[in-house]
Amino acid sequence: MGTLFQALLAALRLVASLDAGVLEYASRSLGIALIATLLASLAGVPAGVWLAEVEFRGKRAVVTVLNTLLSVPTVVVGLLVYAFISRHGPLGGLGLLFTVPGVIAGEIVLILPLVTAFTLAAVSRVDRDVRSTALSLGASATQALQAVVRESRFGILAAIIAAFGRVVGEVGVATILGGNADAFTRTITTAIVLEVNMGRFELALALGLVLLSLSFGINVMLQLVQGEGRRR
Amino acid sequence: MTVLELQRVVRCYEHRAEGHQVEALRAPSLKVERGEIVAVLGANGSGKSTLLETLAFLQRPCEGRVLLDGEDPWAEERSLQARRRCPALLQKTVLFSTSVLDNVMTGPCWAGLTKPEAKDRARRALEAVDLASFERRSHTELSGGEARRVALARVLALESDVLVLDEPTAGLDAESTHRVAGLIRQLNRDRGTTVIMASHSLERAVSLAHRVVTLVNGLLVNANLDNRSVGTMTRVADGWEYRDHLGWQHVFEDRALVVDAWAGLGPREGRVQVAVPAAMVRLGRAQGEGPASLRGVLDTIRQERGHARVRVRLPPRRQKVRAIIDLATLERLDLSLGNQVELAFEPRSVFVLPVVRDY
Repeated sequence: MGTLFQALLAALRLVASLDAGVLEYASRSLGIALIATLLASLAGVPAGVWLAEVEFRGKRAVVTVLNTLLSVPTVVVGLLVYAFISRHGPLGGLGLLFTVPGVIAGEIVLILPLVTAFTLAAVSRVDRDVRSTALSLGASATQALQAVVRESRFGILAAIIAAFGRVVGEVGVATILGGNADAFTRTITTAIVLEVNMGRFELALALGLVLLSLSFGINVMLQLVQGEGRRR
Repeated sequence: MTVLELQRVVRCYEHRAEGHQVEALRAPSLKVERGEIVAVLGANGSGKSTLLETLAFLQRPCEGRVLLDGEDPWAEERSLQARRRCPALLQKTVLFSTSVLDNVMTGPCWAGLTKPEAKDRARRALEAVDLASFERRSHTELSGGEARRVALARVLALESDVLVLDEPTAGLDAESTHRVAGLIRQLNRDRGTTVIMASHSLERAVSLAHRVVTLVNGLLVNANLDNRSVGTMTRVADGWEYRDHLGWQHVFEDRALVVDAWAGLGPREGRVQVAVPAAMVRLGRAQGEGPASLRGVLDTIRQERGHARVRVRLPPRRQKVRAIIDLATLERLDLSLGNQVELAFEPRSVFVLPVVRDY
């Protein structure tokens, strides 16, 4: 218990002194998570809305696959993407392996099903009632769709938050595709693993605290946005 | 002039679990005239909402045609225009998650009005439902009844000449119900708005509507009978019939007669009552063998201010039918008790009602 307390104190000191290493890893983690979440949302939100809207043969199978992908271990996603972007893979020529863009690509593959599935769920929940209400008030098909998306905005936002959370706290993809190269691809989570392995418990804990506060800050921000939306 | 017309409409949906088509509605025919209030009566699950969705062009029928001003919007790919012409208040109240005013403005904005115009309309509509002071409220700050009235205002703001209202007073207290009924009557009277409304209250439907149509297990029992009177009312438009008259059941004040009957088409059938308001019965002297009408013996005459209530005993089972006639007619006919008389009424005066025990 004493050790933990001391480690916590040391960690707080490190955070307070704005340790250069901590800052670098934090900003890299944040950057990767933000870009990956943004890009995955740009593709996943429309895909989720589309899936909620259309009826086709095999739709249930697609949804089942999508839900299965939600629980795929991150290392497995890392491995699969690795196979694609490694030198001998089909996308090897792009030179993405052990680079930040490579990690981002892997994270996108990881969270795309999540954004899509959660958006699908959010839209499906309001779809029928809101759509028929909109149509009954003379909305065109496009206007009705806009109304449906507008009504599911909180659910879609939750999908994006969850996706961001998954990326920011994830180790498998970042390790396999990033290679944990100090000045290039090391993120908070991969650094934590490394520091613990090297016995530097305080630094690992400090990084953990930073990670937690990052998530906390972003969630508070989104809560405020949601609260604003609810009040209107 | 007919605004809306159903021609042999069948609505069906896919039964997911059983994998076959289920028929939800069969409407042999229905004509809604301009400026008319038509009430749709029926038990829960009898297809009232399905019928109204069809009339509001929200669902395309799988068979038959829905005509608006004599044209078929589904065939002409003009269902959006038709929907805008026949806005509907759906049974389930769904407000958009925004303010009351924005909710009511939505429809007019969709129709292409500018924001100030939409706002004007929304305010007028909110005033009509007595919620003018609620415009800044959030949709979460409303009671069930208030939400229902906001939903009604949202439909009114479209200022269309046709309104489709699915149980507009569901969940409202007595006072609000009264006000909404008054509002519907006023719109109809002042602007000639055509209203088709589903109602679970027989009382209200009969007091508000010019005409009542009934759904029995998804079958539209239409009161537009081809026949001139109940005497020959065995066959009804479009090939289905009242199979079996169970006989005159009872007669009551202000409705001339009530007949229990079975309405049926194939497997769909159920009990209905056929009623005619006493004020819509014409009384005449019996004149030999004429076209079908009801004949009987004048039983009582009671003069009241401006009119007379008469009672006629009908053979063969001595049922009593009441009619209300004006004093001039009574004088002209020079009737006395025991005279043979003839009762007649327009097919449009015949109300087909679901069986309700509390007459």
